[in-house]
Amino acid sequence: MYLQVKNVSKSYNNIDVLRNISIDLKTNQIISIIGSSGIGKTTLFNIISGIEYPDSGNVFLDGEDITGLTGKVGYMFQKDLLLYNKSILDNVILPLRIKGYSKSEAKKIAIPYFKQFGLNGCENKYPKEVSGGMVQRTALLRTYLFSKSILLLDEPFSNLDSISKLSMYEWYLDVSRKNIISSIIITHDIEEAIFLSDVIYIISGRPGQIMKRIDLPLTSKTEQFMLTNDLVEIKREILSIIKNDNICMGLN
Amino acid sequence: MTSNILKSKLFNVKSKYKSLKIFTNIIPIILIFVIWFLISNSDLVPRFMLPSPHDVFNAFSEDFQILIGNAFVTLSEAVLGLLISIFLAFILSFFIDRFLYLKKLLYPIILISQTIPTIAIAPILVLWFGYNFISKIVLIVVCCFFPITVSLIQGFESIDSDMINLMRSMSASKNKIFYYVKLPMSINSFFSGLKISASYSIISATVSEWMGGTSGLGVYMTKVKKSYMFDKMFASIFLLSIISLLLVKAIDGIHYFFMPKGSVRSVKRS
Repeated sequence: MYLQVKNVSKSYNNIDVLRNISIDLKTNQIISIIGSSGIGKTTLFNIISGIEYPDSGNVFLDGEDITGLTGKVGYMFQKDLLLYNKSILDNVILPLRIKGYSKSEAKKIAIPYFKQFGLNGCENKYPKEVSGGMVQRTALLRTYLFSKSILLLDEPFSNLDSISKLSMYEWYLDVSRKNIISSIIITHDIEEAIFLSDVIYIISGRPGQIMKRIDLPLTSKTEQFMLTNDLVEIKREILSIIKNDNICMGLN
Repeated sequence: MTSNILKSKLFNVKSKYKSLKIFTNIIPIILIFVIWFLISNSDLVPRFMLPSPHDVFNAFSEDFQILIGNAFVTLSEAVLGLLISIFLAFILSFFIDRFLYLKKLLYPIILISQTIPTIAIAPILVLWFGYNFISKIVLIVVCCFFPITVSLIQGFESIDSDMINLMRSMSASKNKIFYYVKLPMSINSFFSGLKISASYSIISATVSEWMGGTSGLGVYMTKVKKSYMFDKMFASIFLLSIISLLLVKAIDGIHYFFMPKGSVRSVKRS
């Protein structure tokens, strides 16, 4: 699967939010988008997922124009958005039920993934009865069961503590590799972006534009890389761009 | 070890607080009964106008069979009216949620219908439908329909817009969004409205019986009032309030029963 976002621009009430955003996502690739709050990252996801229509530009999936079409990619929102009156299993099968599968068919499809997503034994529990990490995994599995190829993840690990985060990164990389998932991740955590991604896009300015594309080496997905000078250099580069942005927005 | 002792102390304090809460709830009721008893046994008010709690209890036991028979009629009317109100409220709120212009069109009418006092509309309904069951049911529906409809609409509107967007991103149809998200997530709001309507249903059933009829607590009340049997009047008032309370408690029970473990039940536990 190959996702292309071409020259997408969006404005609200004559205020430009995004300008000429272009992103390429290849099969089994993980892309991170970094930018200050309110820069239009979630708007970009809304456009890719088809919830919103861009003022100009297009979104292509394997060459097919899917601009404004919903149901083509999996979208995990910043909030887990689980149905708290339903069990973990019922939450996970929701996209399958929407697609028209019967409850028993949907369960048959979903259950084999529970072990891989670390949710074994939680099938009949309710979201309030499991940990924050489990809630995130449930939301991830729900997103994955909707679209097994391309996932849009809006700050998927932001609610977790730093220790849980590291194990979740390793787990997600493993799941992505095994299931050939391509993902675009919005994050504020630079180290998270470096650890998880093949490519980082930095959105900055008013309106939000892609200021920099950083292609990361394969070694960046290791704990050792976190201790190298290369990481510090990449962090410094990203921070210098975002810092300028914050100065412009009066946040510094 | 120390933390266990602390936990057990905390548990004891909580249990004491719980029993104190029950005690403080009962005290005002006992106090009212004591004051009532003292006033009715003094010469401040004539005994026939304010019978003592003891007289009321005697009247209740004397007319027990008649009271229960009439209470059954009133309760049946109230429950039937309530069920029809729920059905109509669901249909209307569904369409209002689906077609926003319907809200603009119908909301003022619904609001105005609630400004008309029950007692004023009851004679007109008797005039239109006669002294039968229908006029009573219509009055109950008019009174109960509004709180349920409004609570349902508010429930639908209070759902997180991201949740709706998530469903839209999955290409869920409006019907599926309604079925999977809006309806289950509005259940608490619906039951809040239903509880208000439950007490309204008893009130409106009684008022409709005052206007005329052959049975029901309202009819019984008018009969005993004409005979200046205020002790029986008080007995029927107590019975009405007990029925109302039981109906609300029954709705609480249904609410608790229908809500899965993950939502209300766990909230109640904490």
